[in-house]
Amino acid sequence: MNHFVQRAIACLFLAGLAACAGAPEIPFDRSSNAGIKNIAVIQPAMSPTPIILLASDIGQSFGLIGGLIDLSMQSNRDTKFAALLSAQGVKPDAVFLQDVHTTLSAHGYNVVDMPQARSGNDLLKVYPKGGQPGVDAYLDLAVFSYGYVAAGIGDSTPYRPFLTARCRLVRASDSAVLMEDTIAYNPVGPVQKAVTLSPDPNFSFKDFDTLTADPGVAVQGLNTALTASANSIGTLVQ
Amino acid sequence: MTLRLLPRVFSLSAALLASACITPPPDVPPLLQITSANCAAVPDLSTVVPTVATIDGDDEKPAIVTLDATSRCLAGTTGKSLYAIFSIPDGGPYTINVSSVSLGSSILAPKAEMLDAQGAVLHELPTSSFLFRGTNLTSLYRSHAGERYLLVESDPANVGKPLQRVKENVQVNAVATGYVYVEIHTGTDVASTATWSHNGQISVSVVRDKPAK
Repeated sequence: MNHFVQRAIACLFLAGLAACAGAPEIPFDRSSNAGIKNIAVIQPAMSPTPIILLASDIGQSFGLIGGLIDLSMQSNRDTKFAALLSAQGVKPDAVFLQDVHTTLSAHGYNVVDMPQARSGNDLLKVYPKGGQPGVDAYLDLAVFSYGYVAAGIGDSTPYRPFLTARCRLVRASDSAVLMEDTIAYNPVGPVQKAVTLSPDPNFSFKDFDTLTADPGVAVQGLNTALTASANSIGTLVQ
Repeated sequence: MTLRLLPRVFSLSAALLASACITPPPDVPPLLQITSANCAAVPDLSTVVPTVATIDGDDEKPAIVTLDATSRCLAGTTGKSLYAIFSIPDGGPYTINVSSVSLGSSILAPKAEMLDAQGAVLHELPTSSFLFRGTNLTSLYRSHAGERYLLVESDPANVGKPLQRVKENVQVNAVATGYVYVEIHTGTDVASTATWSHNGQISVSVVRDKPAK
């Protein structure tokens, strides 16, 4: 049941991304932080498997019973899609981390990984005091939810890739926050205080069966969302 | 309908009305060419639009300027552009939010620079720093000492290019008949097309950090 609750929370987060309105948007001032050259990317808070959301459907109209049926159906979709990724040998969290590496390197930073045990799916509360030798800043990433989402049932609301994440750049020496922002790739509903990325129109699938019919294209669509989101993080620290 | 259902219907109706009251932007056709023969080489600093600095967390007071065919223009090396120039209050540093507001089928292709008191360019905001935040194309910038003006102009290199975006949404409609109350959940997936243009609306907010406690 805990699994269901997590999924339900993910649904709520997706539908109500406006709740992030209170989250800070702190732009990075690279010219005043020229000493930041070596960034340690902390192991992101990110589920290894995506979720396949139907943001609105008939089940939601029938209270608890309808909700439980919905969650059960979603769990089935998630399981099938996870199996599809596994069969393709794709690990989205590894793809995302590599994409972040690539974009930071492209913007002139030296990048290292920093392993980190996570207890939740949010940004860290504290960072290593005094930093580590050779590390000027930590990049903390929390991917709240990602996968595919359809706004509703029917051909006019196809499944498209989505991702919501927060990112924070912290100076290693004193834990000062140098940049913080929210990334929303294909958000459902209004969003104000977040970088809002429109989905690639090449990846839309009228229903779940169509989505899973060509695993290669489904994976490509998901990877496109991961890469675009990572690139926007690179833009935020350019 | 029983009385106990009324509060729910009222609250839901209020929420739906509130969402319905979000006025869509006017649909302004894109301006793709500047015909004026009197474009200046440098911006006119006497036409600055003042901005108001607010404290982080307070309601922002954006300065809003609409650029259209009657606006002042510059003749640069890459072509003509429409522009507006904003003054930055003393006492930074500030976080400056400069946005190009979508106007239906057109959206200003923005280019921005920070100028000193004499109008010399101190810093250019990269075009890539403009990212969509909601429906606005926004760059967030941390100001520095000596930066007195913000020049925002249309970018001739991007004017005329198409912009396609997809927006997904969900709606909840309430149906109440007698003792039956049902919320119908539906979704929409709408693709929109606009054109990067010389005209458009610019919104500039200047925000000072909260004082340290």
